[in-house]
Amino acid sequence: MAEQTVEQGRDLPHAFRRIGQALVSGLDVKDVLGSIVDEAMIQLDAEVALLRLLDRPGEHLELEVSRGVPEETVRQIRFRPGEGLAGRLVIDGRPLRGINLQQDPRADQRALARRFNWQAFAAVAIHLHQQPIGVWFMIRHRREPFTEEDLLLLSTFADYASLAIERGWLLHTIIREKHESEAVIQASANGILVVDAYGRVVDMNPALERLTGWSQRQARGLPCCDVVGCQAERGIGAPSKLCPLQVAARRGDRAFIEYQLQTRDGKSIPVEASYGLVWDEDGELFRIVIVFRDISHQKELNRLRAEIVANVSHELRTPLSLIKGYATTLLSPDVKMDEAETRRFLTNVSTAADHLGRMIDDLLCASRIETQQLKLESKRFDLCKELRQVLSWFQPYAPDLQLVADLPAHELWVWADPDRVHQVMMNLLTNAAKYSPVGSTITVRSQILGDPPAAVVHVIDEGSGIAAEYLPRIFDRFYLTDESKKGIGLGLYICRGLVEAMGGSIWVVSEVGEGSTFSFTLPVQAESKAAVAGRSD
Amino acid sequence: MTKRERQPHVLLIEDEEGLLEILEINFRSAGYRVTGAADGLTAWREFDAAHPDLLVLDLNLPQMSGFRLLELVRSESDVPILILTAYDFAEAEEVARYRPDLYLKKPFDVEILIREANRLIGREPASGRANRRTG
Repeated sequence: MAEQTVEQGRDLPHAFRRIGQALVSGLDVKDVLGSIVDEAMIQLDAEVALLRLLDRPGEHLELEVSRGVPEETVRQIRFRPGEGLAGRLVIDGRPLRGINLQQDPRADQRALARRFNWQAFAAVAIHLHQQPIGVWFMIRHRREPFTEEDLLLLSTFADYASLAIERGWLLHTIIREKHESEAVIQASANGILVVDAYGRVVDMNPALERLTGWSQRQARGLPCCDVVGCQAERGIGAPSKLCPLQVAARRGDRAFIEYQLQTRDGKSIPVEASYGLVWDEDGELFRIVIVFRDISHQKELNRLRAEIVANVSHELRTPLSLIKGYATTLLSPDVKMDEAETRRFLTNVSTAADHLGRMIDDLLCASRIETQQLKLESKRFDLCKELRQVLSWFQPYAPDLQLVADLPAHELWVWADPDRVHQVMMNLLTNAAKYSPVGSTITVRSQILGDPPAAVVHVIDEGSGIAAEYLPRIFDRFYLTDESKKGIGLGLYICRGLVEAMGGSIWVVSEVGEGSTFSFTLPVQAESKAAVAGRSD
Repeated sequence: MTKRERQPHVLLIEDEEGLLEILEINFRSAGYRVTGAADGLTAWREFDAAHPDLLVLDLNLPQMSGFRLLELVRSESDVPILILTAYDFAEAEEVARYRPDLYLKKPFDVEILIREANRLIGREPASGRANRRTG
């Protein structure tokens, strides 16, 4: 009687019509599955349905859709591969049916079946590409068995479920990947341009908008050379050997060029562009993806580096020229010289060699500062005594200047490397003397200041002063002001490096025409020996 | 040739004191009348006043650069010019516009310098080679 009802109630054409509609409706995968399960329940006259998907192959099954059973209960059911009916389905893939789930020896959820009065059942595995991806149970509260035909019908519904699942996964994957790749392209610091096989702009990212001055909307459809200003012939069909697109297409591979990109407002920016080809499934060129990197900073660095090398070698050549000049003059048979003049020449050779030696020392010292390989021999010493020594040492080099030591009468103990302090002072004094007019004064002043206390040394000159524009960069490596053109630009860099390595800081206050004051600090005690060393003497 | 019999006059332009002295001693010993200038402006005044037979100059000069001086000199004279420079030949192209006759790189050998100077003013044929770049 019941079986007849089922037969009569079946309306498969409409059931599959509704499933088809659900499938193409763009509904969420779970809703589509729900519709399929509902249709199957009507057609198979079942009261309970359980459809679960494998989370990952080999792991337990997660519920997707259930009907006729409380959700909390379903959530407690654990299906394990190889165990119970579900496990068997997953392993051998053949549909199963039975008359009483409560007593079926193959079932491992018999207690649950008794609790909910589950009796006749039909179960199929859901397959995708020949792999089991889930199980589907249909249950009746009566012992009226599911027929072979019911099983066949359930398998058919399961195939639709599989279709819905695949579609859902695909959609999900595509959307996620699209978002991910869009995010990468949008966030990329490099400019990215996508062009079609004819060299017309399809898409570009914000970085390229900023680089070129073109918006994506304006650029779309234009020949790429108009947008990224490579000044090649238009598009890929144009007969130019220079167009990087053509080079890439011809080679069928990546191309890589450096060129001056012309921006929309006519600026020229050095860029590095790499061209990647995207082929369609027929092997036809579909898209070209071009990545642009602004290399102006790198170019500028290279230019600066070359300039520095040229300048340093020029400066090294000057004393070398003197040595060579004096030596070849002394050797020349045409030049007659008395002994005094010969000695003077040899002294000049020696002085030039010293100058050369000092420059090489400076280069090495700067390199050690840069690579943080400076070796310090710090100790506790009287700064006043050291400063007085430096001044008396320096006086012969500045016979036309007055050197004044404005120092306290008592000792001024500092923790530093006295040789390095000497080097810093010699550099500062040499600089001060270089820009000081004859007869002017250079004052060296020192005192203890601040909290925690530090020794401060000022070197004050009455020279030409330094223009404000130079001040921010004056301690930079290889930095030369227009006035200091001669030199290698390391003196103040070394001063800063040495002072900072000793735990101090250095600064300058200057005004054009008013002279300059260079100041630096030195710690009064070793950092690690706090408080003790300060009073130990 | 009779014109060359008189003592040739060389204008030496070099801002490095020691090098200017070396140049002066060697040119004097080679029988030249020597005028020295330590900056471009002085050099131009000296040139304008005396019209020497030969110019030996450094490019890196205070007051007025060697390039500017070259430009001025060439605008009114074809006097032989010998350039001494500690720079690499990167600026050779720029220098070439002013048609210097010889380009010697520092450090230089004074003997070669004098020989080339003599050749430039036609005093005696050059027997050696210098690194001729332009002219």
